[in-house]
Amino acid sequence: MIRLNVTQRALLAAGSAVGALANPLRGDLVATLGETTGTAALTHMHDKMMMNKTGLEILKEKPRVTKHTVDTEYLSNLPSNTFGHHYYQFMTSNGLSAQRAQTKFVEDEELAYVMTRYRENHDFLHTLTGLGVTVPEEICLKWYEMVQTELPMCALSASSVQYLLPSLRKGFSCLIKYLGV
Amino acid sequence: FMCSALVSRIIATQHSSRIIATQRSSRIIATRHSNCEIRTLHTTPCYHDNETHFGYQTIPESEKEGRVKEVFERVADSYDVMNDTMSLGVHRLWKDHFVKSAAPKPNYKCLDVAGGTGDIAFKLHKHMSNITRDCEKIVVCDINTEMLRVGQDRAEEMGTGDNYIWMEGNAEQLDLPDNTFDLYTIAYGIRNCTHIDKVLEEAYRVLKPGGRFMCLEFSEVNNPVISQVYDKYSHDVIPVLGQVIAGDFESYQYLVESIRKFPNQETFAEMIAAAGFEIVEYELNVWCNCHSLWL
Repeated sequence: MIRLNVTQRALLAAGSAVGALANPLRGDLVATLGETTGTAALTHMHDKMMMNKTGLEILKEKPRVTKHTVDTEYLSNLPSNTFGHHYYQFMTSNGLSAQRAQTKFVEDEELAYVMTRYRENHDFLHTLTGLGVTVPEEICLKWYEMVQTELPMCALSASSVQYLLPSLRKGFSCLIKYLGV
Repeated sequence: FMCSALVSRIIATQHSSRIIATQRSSRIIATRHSNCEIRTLHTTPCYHDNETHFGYQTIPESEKEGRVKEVFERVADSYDVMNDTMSLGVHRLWKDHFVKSAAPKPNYKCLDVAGGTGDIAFKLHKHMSNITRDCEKIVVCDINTEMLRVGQDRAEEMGTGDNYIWMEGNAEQLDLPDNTFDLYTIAYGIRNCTHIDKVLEEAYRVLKPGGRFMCLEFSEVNNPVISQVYDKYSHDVIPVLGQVIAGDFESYQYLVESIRKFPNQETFAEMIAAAGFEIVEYELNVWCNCHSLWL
């Protein structure tokens, strides 16, 4: 947990935005950007969770999804009509393991947990939506997350038009023209 | 302490430049006198027994070495890039000036301590080989193998690998014989050592009588206006650069804080004299932007 003053937060947000756009492989900068700009959205999410029974349980128990807590053997033996089975299939076919960047720059513990939970949920959302790990699919998932979480970082990723397929990019720019923006 | 004559001369030079932030570094030279006894100066910090500073944190003394080692292991690969970025390349000028003052002769046995990625060693070698190809190998000592590895790789790339002996070692306890070296250099390293007095004693031991101890280090900024800008830059910008470029905020926060914790020029000069060195001089070089529009 690193405390930042106002100047550090502003500089870090700007620096990580530029860095992440320049080099999209720097996942840690995307994470940093999310943390430095996400306070309002995290507070909003926390409030909504507090007003929901399941949300309250999650905030109380603070479950984690890491390679230590995920029992891959158990998941591999689940029947094919279960969420766990499909989650396992998604993770193994894409060679992924449940390990996300640690939350470093969110001061409030509760909000830091909400951020961690958002990150650890990401692969569950892949499973639910059926979206894969190609760049356009990840961007689509970011649109979904942007609407759900209202995190500015999602908005930045979602607007990464330069990585969309030419056909999608063409469609997107047609849409923009149509809307008269 | 009867036989040492402490001569100190302060040279403060101001150069104007268009660099936005102000950085200051000071160069300290001390010569070992042949007949002095070694006396250890024990500083009395306001810590409990067996505690010391790690940046602004207080930690058990026994932990400091390990934690400093961790910092440098993490930053080793981006150390040179970060130096260039943080100082806008000016650190190269400071190091050039330092080596020029050291003026090693080709037959000098040189020891560069905390020499890690090799900046000072490479410059020393260049200075000596400009006079003649046939010069002594330079011993580069560092407590951290990652930093040494980066240095070795750089030397190999330049094709000059044979001119250096890369040695893993602790500045407080050098595995080197007495009275061996003509020149002992330590640049931006001594402030990371747990017991500065022990480092100075070891330097005294391994240097020949008449040998020179040279230290390049960040020092206190006395001018209140400049120090405000400098403090803001150090605390706000440098760790952020560390996160964005090297992916490591905390290590650079430690490095900034460790500069503040280092004794000032006068105190450090006294410590050096207490280790038995004679003719202690220090030079302050201030690159400030007093003529530029930014202040």
